[in-house]
Amino acid sequence: MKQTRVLVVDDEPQIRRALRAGLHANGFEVELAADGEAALDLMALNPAEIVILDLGLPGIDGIEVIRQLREWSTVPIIVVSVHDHEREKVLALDTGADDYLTKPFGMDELLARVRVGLRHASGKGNEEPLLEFGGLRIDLARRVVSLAGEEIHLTPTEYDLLRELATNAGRVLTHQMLLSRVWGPASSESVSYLRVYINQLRHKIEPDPSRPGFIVTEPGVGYRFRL
Amino acid sequence: MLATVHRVWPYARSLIYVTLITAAIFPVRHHLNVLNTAFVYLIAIVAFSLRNDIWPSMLASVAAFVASDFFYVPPIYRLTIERPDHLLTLVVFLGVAIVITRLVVQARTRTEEELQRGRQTATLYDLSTALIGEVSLDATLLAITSRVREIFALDSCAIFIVDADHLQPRSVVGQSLPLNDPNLTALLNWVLETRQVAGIAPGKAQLRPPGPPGASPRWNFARGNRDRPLLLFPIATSRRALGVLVVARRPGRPRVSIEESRLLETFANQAAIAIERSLLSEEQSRADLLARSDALKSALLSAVSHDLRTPLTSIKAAATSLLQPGAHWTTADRRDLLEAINEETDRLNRLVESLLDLSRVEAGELRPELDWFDLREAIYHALDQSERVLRDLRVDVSIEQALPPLRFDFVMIGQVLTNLLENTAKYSPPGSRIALSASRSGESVEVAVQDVGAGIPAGEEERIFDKFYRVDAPNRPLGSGIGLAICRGFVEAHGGRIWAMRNAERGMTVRFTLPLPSTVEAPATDALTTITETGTAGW
Repeated sequence: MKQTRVLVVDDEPQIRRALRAGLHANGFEVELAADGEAALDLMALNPAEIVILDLGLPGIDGIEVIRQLREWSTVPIIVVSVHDHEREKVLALDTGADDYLTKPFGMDELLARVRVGLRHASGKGNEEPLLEFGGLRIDLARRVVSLAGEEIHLTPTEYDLLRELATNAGRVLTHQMLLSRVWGPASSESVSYLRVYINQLRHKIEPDPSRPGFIVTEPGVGYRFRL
Repeated sequence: MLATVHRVWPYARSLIYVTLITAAIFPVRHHLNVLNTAFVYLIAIVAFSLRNDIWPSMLASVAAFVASDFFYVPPIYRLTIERPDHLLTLVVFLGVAIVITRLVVQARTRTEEELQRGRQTATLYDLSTALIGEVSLDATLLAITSRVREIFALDSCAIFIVDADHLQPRSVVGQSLPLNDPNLTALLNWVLETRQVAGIAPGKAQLRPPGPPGASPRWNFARGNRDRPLLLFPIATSRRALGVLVVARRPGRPRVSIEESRLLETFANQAAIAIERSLLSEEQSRADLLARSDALKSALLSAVSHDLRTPLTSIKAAATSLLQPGAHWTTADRRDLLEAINEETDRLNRLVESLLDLSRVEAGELRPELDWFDLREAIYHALDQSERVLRDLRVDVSIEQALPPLRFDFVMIGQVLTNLLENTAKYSPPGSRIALSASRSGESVEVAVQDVGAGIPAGEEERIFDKFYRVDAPNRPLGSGIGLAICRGFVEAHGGRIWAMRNAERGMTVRFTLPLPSTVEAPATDALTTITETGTAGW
């Protein structure tokens, strides 16, 4: 079986070392880069299938690496950063990163994000006409949503919002992404407007809206549909 | 009694004056007719009114009228007048005298008022220029009180400022104020609340007796101060009441006139503006201080966040990898992860120690345990400690042969050397050269660590020793900004000096000195404490 190639970009040798060993033991082929230039060179010569990228790099920083990669590649990029500055994460995601993790993180979390990234990149799940999560069924062809066999009535906007979240299940979507994808790129609606719709949606699909199980808030960043 | 004399004296003076004039004319009376006499009196009355108030001058006019009638108008020595033309002359004389007196006194009063106003303007100008220069509240208040006291020739002057809801005397010049008198406190609060002027003085000298709202404080307090009337002026801006200006005049001085009182009110207003400005600037500097300590805190947080979380990330990633149930471990992978955990724990431990060292430096609790050591030992020990980070670099060590033993704390100086080497290693390209040297230099021994690394921006040579300071430049790994701050703390605790210089070509040189002990103190070489040399091979 061909192993999946992962590129780990981090300036800290000890972190590279730990991630290399951990990912290798989980069946990945691991490439390492200590800075942004090396990462871009490696990707140009022999592209990896997924990139794990530290944002605080010496030289060209992580955001710039994402920008340059996105000019020609759709490779999934998972950003890791010691800063939990929300603005930086949002900037990375809006620039084109697929997901983020805040250091320190567990290997199981990283592997889960890597799998989601690979699954979306492979196109699997994107063409399925029927999505199922627990008791929640979304029939994309007929635009019908049902919870535990009972049909739920959603407004067109609520449905679009749910579809956007569910087809990207497992990935974080920033406020800006949701606003532009659901309300159109020219929409000038605010985050609080989005929050209102998310709340309405939760009331309809969540068994307990105060403890959401499907739509998870990523504070300051956006929302994630839990797999 | 004294007041009565004071009131009557100007009138008595005018009568005496007329008597003297009459006596002066008396010997030459035969050469003067009635008209001449009237003119002489008229001139005398004008002269008198130039220096006296209106009513004494009027009295002088009437007295002159009577005197000329009695002494010079026939029939002489009687108050009757025979000829109608004499009567006319005297009546005209009286009328002219009264009119001229009035005009002269009015003109003089006006001139005096002008002068007074001019003086007040100058005084206010003086005060405001003096106040512009002052920034601190206490200096401002002192400028006001001392000037008010000087200008009005007061016995005492004080400013009370609202501090934590209580009026506190902040600036007091002079001795006579009963600062702790509860009645004064009551009146002060009344003035502050109503923003009205209040006076405490006996009887009529009381200026604008205040109609107290609600509870009525006793205005005439402390009998001993009755001859020292106090005036209280509110100091307030349109936004808030700030305090009270209290003035006490000298015993025996005339009471404060309405004009002076107005001027004092103006002073109080000026004071209000200056005090408000000082208070605002005090608040501003407190806010600045908070902002600075906030900036320091966030620098600390960011340093600690980066430096603590990086090793934690390696440890967490390694440990959770090892815990993965489905993973297939090669011996090499497993060993790598365990080594990562091991080394990163050491790194965390070093960081915690550095933070502790830094807090000792900060708290000023550094007491080096001085003993006799060979500096050479400390240098080789530090090189040994830093072996891992120096792996890819070439280190040239040159130590002067005849270096005498020194008194220092081996652990601290070892830490200084280790920090300098690790700092240098961090910013040096792999394979480059580091030069470490130690030699005598005047009354001390100088150690230099020279590299060809990233260097420092010009002008920041001093700042790199500030805690949490980092050179912010692209292509440069971030340090914690702790190491060099500790170096400075430790070296200075030994009475030495540490500084950095940019090299002419590339990189930088950090030097520090340790003082040479006086030769008498130095022990014999065989008594020297030596440290067991370990693992110095390769240096």
